[in-house]
Amino acid sequence: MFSFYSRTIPVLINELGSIASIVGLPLSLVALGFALLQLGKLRGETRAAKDAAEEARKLFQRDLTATEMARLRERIRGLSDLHRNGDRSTLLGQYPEVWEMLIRIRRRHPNLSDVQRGQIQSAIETVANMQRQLEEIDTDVIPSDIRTDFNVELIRLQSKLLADLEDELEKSETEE
Amino acid sequence: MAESRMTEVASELLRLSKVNRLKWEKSIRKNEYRVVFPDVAFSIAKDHDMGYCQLNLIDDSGQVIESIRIELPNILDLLDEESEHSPSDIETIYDLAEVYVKDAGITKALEVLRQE
Repeated sequence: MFSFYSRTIPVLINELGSIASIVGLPLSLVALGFALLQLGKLRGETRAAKDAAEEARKLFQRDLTATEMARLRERIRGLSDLHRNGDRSTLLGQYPEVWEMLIRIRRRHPNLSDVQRGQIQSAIETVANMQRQLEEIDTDVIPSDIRTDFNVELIRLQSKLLADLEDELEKSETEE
Repeated sequence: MAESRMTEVASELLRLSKVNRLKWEKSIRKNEYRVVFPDVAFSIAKDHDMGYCQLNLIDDSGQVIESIRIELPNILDLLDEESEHSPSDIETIYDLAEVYVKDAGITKALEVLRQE
C-alpha cells in the first residue's frame, strides 16, 4: 500500500504540474494580452494628453504674441501723441520700453526666419536711433521737422513693419 | 585692431554695394542710410557741416558698437585744381547708398505709373 502511494503521488504531482502549466499558459497569454491592451490604451492617453498640452501651449503662445503686438502698437501710438505734444522728457522714458518690447519679442521667438529677424532688427534700429536723436536735442522742445519725421516713421512702423511681422508670426505659429 | 576690422567691413560693404547686392534704405536721420540684416545693421552718414562721413556697425539691440569716420575735404581743397581728391571707400559707400535709394524710389514710382 505504502509503495503504491509512494509511486503514484510523485507521478500525480508531476501530472498536476503539467496540467497547471497547460492551464496556466492560456491564462498567461490572456493576462499578457490584457496588459498589452492596457499599455496601448495608456500610450494613447499619454499621446492625447501630450497633444492637448502642445495645443494649449500653441494657443497660449498665439495669445501671448497677439497681446504683445497689441501692447506694442498701443505704445507706438502713445509715442506719436507724445511727439505731437512735444513732450521730450516723457518720451525719453517711453522709448526704452518700446525698444525692450521689440527685443523681448525676438527673444521669445527663437525660431524666427531671416525675414522676420530682419524686420525686428529694422524696428529696433529705428527706435534706438530715434531715442539717440531725442537725447542729442539740447532743448526740451522737439523741433517740428524732427517731430514730423518721427511720426511719419512711426506710422510706417505700425502700418508696414508691425503688420507684416504680426502676419509672419501668426503664420509661423500656425505652421508649427 | 577694431579700426582695421572696420576697414575690412567697409571694403566688403563697398564691394557688395557696387554690385547692387545691398538694399540700402533711408534712415530716420537726415543724410543717413542704413542696410539691415537679420541680427546686425550698418548705417552710413555724411555731415557736411561737421565735415565727416561715418560708417556705423549696429548690433542686434540697435546700439552703435563700432564706427569708422573719415574727414571730408573742405571746399577750398576741392577748388584747388592742383590737389587731387579721390573719394575714400566710406564716401563711395555713401554715394552708392544714396544712388540705390533714389533708384529704388524711381523704379517703384515707374512701376506704379505703368500699372495705371
